[in-house]
Formats: sequence, C-alpha cells, structure tokens
Amino acid sequence: MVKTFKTIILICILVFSVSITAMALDYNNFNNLIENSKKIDNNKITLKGEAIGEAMNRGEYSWVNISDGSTAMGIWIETEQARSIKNFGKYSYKGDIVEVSGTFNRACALHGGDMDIHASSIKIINTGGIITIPISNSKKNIAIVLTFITIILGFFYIRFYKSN
Amino acid sequence: MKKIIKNFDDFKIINYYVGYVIIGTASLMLIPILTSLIFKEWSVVLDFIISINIALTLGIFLMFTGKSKVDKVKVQWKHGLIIASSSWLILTLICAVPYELSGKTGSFLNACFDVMSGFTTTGLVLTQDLDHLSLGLNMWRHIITFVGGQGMVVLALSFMVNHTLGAYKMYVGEGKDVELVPNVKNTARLIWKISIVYLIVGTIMLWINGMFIGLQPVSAFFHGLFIFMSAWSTGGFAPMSQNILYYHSLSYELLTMIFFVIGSLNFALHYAVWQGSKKEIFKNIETQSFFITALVISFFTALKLTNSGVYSNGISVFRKGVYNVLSAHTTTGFGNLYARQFATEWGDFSVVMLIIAMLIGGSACSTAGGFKGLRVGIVFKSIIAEVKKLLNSDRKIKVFKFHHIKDIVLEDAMVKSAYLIVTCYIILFFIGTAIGTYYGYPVLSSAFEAASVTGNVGLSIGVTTPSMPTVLKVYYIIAMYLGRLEFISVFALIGVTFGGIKRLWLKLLKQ
Repeated sequence: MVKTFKTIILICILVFSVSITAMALDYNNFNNLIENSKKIDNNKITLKGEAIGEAMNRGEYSWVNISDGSTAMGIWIETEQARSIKNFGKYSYKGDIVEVSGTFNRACALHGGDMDIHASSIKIINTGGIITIPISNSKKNIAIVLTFITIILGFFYIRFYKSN
Repeated sequence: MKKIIKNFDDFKIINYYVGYVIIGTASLMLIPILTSLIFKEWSVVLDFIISINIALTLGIFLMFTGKSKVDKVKVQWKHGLIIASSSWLILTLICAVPYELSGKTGSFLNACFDVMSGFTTTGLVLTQDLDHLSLGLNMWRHIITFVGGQGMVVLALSFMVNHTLGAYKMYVGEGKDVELVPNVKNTARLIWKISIVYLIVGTIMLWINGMFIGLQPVSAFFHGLFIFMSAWSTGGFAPMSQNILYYHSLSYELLTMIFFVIGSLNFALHYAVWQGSKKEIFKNIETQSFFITALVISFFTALKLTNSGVYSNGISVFRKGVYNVLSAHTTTGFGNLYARQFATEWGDFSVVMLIIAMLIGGSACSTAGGFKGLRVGIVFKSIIAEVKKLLNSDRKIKVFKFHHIKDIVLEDAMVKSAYLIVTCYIILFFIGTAIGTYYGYPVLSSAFEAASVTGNVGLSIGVTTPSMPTVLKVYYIIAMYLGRLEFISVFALIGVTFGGIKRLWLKLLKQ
C-alpha cells in the first residue's frame, strides 16, 4: 500500500513539474523574447519585470508596460488585475516587480501587430515605492560658485556694453 | 602683421556671434529648471544650474572678446558658415553636461551622442533607463530636438535686435536657404511663429487623445508635449524606452503620423499655405516627389510584409509597415516595434526599402534630413531634361522648369549642386556601412544604421547601443552633424582649422 502511495506521489510530482515546464517558459530577459519571437509565438510564457509609467485603462482591459531594466514589453490585462499594481516605475519611484503569465504574441492581430502578452494571471513579487535621490553637497557648492562667476561676468559685460 | 590682425578680427567676430548663439540656446535651460522645481526634482535643478552657468559664462566670455569688432568687421560667407558649424559643436558639448550629471549616460561621449542626435533631429538614444528619467531631463531632451529642428542660429537670429548685417550668411550656414520674407530676422521669427502655433495645437490634440487612451491628465500633457516636439521636428525622441509602442494606440500613431509628415514639409510651403495658396501643396516639386516616393516604398513594403506573412491583417500592415516607412521617409524615427524586429522579422527587402526611404528624407528648409525631396526632384528633372535634349534636334533650345513656390528654370549650377550634395550623402552612407561591417555587424544592419544617421532618421536595427564600439559612436556623431548641416559649413570649419594649423606649422618651421 505504502509502495503504491509512493508511486502515485512520484508520478504526481513528475507530471506536475513537467506540465509546469510545458505550460510556461520563464523569461527575465525580454530581448530573448524579441530574438526568438517566431519560435515562442502563441506560447504560454511567464515573465518578470518592473511595472513602468502607468496603467492605461481601455475599459474591461488595460495596458501595463513592464521592464526588465533595459527593454519593456506591453501586457494586455484585465483592468481588475491591473489595479493590484500600486506602484509604477518613474523618476524617484521604483515600480512593483510583477510576475505575469500569459500568451506571447509576436504580432498581435487584435492590437495592430504589437508584440505583446495577453496576461491570464499576475502576481506582485516585490512592492515598489519612493526612492530618495540624494542631493550632492559638491554639486550644491559648484552651483553656487558658478552662479557667482556668471553674475560678476554678466555685470562687467553690461558695464562694458554701456560704456561703448 | 596686418594679415595676422585681420585673422584675429575674423576670430573675434566669430566669437561674438557664437557666444550669442550659446547664450540664446542655454537660456532654454530655464524651462527644465522650472519643470524640475515644480515637480521637486532637486538634484536635477542643481544639474541644470551648473550647466546653464557654464554655458552663460562661456557665452559672455566669447561675446566679450568679439564685442569691439561687431559692426566694424563685415560678416563674410566664411564667417557665417563657421559661426553655424562651431556653434553646433560647442553647444553639443555644453548641452551634454546635464545628461552627464544625471548619471544616466555611462560616459560623456554617450551624452554628446544623445545631444547631437537631438540637435540634428536624429533620435537615436544611448541614455539608459529612460523609463526612470526625470521630467526635467526629459523636457531638455525634447527641447533640444525641437530647437535643433528649427535651428539654434535661427533661434538666436529671431531674438537679435542689432548687428543683423551678416544674418543671412549664418542662416544659410545652418542648412537653410529659403527666405520667407525679405528680412532674415523676420524669416527666423516666422519659422518660430509657425512652429509655436503648431506646438500649441498639436500638444492639445495629443493631450486630449492621451487622456482617452488612459493616461493621467498631467502625464498625458507631458507625453503630448514631448511627442509633439519630437514629431514636428522629425526628431524621434520619446519619453519612454518603447518609443511609440508604449502607447499601444492607433489614434496616437495616426496623430503623430500627421504631425511628422507636416513637420517634414518645407517652411516656405507652410508659409505659402498660410498665405492662402493651397494649390502649392499639389504643385510643389518637393511634395510631388515626397508623395510619389512615399507611396511607392509604402506599397512595396506593405506587399512584402503581407506576402511573407509577417503581419496577418491590413491594420497591422498599416500600423507597422506604413507607419515605419513614413517615419523613415520623413526622417522622424518614431518606432512602434522593437529595433531587432526589423532584422529578425521584416526580411531583407523591407529593410532595403526603409534604407532608401531614410536616404531620400523630407523637404529642404524643413526639420527633416536626408537628400531632401527638392534635390531628388531636381535630379529626376535633370535626367528627363537630358533625355529630351538628346531626342530633340540640336537647333531647338528648350528651357526646363519646375515649381517650388514659384516657377524656377532648371539651371546647370542648380543640378550640379544637387548632385554634389547627394554624392556627399552617399559617400557618408558608404563609409558608415563599411565601419559597421569592420566591427562585425552584418552588412544590411550596418547599412540600415548608416542610413539612419546619415539621413538624421533615428530608426535603429539594434546596432546603436551603449556597448557599441567608440569609433562607431564618434563616426555616427560626425555623420549626424554633417548630414544636418549639409556638409558645406562643416567643410568650411575643417578648412579653416586645417589652414590655421598649416600656417602655424609653417611659421614654426621658419623660426
């Protein structure tokens, strides 16, 4: 009996792991998607990236762009799911890191040939937020000195201009 | 001795006007300073305060050195050409300072590359992490491309009150030669008036459309402003790394398409239409040339993309195929697909079509680059004229004309000048292709990128990256610069520089 259970558990683990592999390939570097777009077209994939800019609501669905740090990709996602993303990357903000599962389209017929992903699920891996950008003291000092020089030079130029 | 003093006079007069152009352009840094202040980007404010002070100090110093000779020394052609070409070089270095201080460029060379790309309305980008760029720096990037499209000298001339005697020579030095009204200063002002009116209308249209496609009102305004500045100046910069693809919107693409096509037209044509001469659009040799080449190239590209199954429906073919062809032809460089897709999906034929479109370019005296429609029209007319001459008897003298604002007789000097410039562009393109292949890039990719920098387009097939060889970066900067100023003023600067070095050597050898 124990042997039978062990065999069933082993088979379950094997089937489950194989099915996960077959269902969705992981992509962290979006350039790989672009380079191999023909091969991956219409396949289910999973990709991780930072949500950037803002969600663009188009009714029932929204567009969310996610970035791997150098390349960004458009995700077509249900508006309800898009609302779970609270932080979007921009200056002095780090966006939420999300894991998206969905179908990759090399040239989506629904969206005028855009390369995109139609998401089926989304998971927040890391929450983003405000990043404090330090103000350099040396920059402050240089700015003050240079402003001083410019004012003096400008003053002399105006005097010189008037005297001529 | 007299000659040496005269040479110094040349320098002084050049210094004065270069200083004036630097101050005029640097003053624009007040806009990103204000933007950063409003959005509390304090570090960016400091970057711009440092940069504007460097620029103003240099500008005032140069004007100081030349002030005594203004109105005493007559501005000659060589002065005008050198003022324009050297202003562009110095401004590239100065305007790159805020990029460098932002820490987003990796090196000062990359910063200079992006500034030259902006000024020349090319649109290629080496700045990294665009998606996290401050609003202030983004504002600066787009101001650079907007001002570059009209010309920094044009900007300075429009504010000039006195000392406008040599204005026309400086104006020509910047690659423009059409006088809309008899006075150059007023022509410069008119160019700016036309651009500002379009800027207001275009930004409002894109702003409203931005809100319809789901952007927040404030964000939609800045996206609209940036994208319009880029479209009108046929620049190709965008605030996000995905360029136009970020918006995933047909209406946004259509609006940008309308704006960059209008932006690629000759300012003289805009003025003629403003004056009520609407027929000029159909009669003008440049618009005829543009519409014929755009139609033919779009048709063949769309045909190939459909037949090879790259896109499955008509809308996709239009949005990807026709949009990118027009973006290339008008030398804008807006893209709604990834750079590598040209290489991996489009196929060689479509890439060749884009290369041809990029080399032809937009109209003369516009914000566009490339050979220009006027020259392509003149070359075709001259070929037809030659054939007709051969077919007619020797005794029959026929005068050939073309229409560009008015009827113009096709003269040999005009044809020669058109051939000369087209030849220079082709040489620049071939050298760029050769250097690309030397560094191991495929021939077609090298040719694509070379055409993009030569024609000041900005579309990329993936060669332009921060990691590309330094020599290639430097060559691309030179190619963008030469392409935008249409060679002559840069050749004048090179001639004077080498002439000066030669004289100095000879003097040293004699001693």
